[in-house]
Amino acid sequence: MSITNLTLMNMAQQKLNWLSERQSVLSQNIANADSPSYRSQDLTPIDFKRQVEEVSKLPVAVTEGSHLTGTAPRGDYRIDKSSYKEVYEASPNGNGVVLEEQMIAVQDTKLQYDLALNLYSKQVGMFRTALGGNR
Amino acid sequence: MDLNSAIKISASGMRAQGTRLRVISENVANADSLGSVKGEDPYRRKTIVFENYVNRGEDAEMVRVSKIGRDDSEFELGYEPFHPLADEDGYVRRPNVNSLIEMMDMREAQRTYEANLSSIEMARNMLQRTVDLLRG
Repeated sequence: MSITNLTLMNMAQQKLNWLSERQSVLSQNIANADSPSYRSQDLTPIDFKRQVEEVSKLPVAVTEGSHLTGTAPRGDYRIDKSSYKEVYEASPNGNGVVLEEQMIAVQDTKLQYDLALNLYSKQVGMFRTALGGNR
Repeated sequence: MDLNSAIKISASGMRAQGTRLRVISENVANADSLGSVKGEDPYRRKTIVFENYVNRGEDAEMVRVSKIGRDDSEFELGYEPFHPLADEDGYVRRPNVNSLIEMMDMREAQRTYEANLSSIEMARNMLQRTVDLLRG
């Protein structure tokens, strides 16, 4: 058993990865808030079921260098360009970024990030309790 | 690292808005610049256009200034018969700078700059919190 393989740790890690990738997509939208004919994008929402499956999946043992691991490599989170196809408003130059929407999304991402981080550090705290001694 | 690239993307947005503000300042500063000799054109208002491009190094769509153009609209005419630059009918051609439009542009640049700034702050905060985990 290693710390990195624990389900909760692993899920928190995935969530953090997803959130930081989302933050980068949102930054992209905000930076392009005045670029003609730019439409805002977002990531496809994280799927809890898929995440659980992914975390609890055991990899096939590799006993030789030429063996394939068998589990498909986890793809990057996909950017969903269609989610904002129906924009609330588009400026005359075709730009469809609504700054208010983006700021709310950024704020939301940060809150979720804090939540995942807190869960992670709580888990670490539980380990410390189990280890005992001087903390 | 995605948060780092988030910061870089926002920085590119701030750079673009900074250039925009420079162009606006040029327009406002030259709002009264006439030609130096009779018959010469006065200052012509400048415009700025942004575009998004894919930065291969960061694997992200950043923003940059695609072109700084010139506003080809008509010059304003002022009736000043005794002005040294006045034509035969007594009209002086003035720059096609409308200070109201420039103010609105300036506000928009400011707002977008602020949005980028708070996006950077947010990403930096998230990074900081992650680093804080090490302190335990």
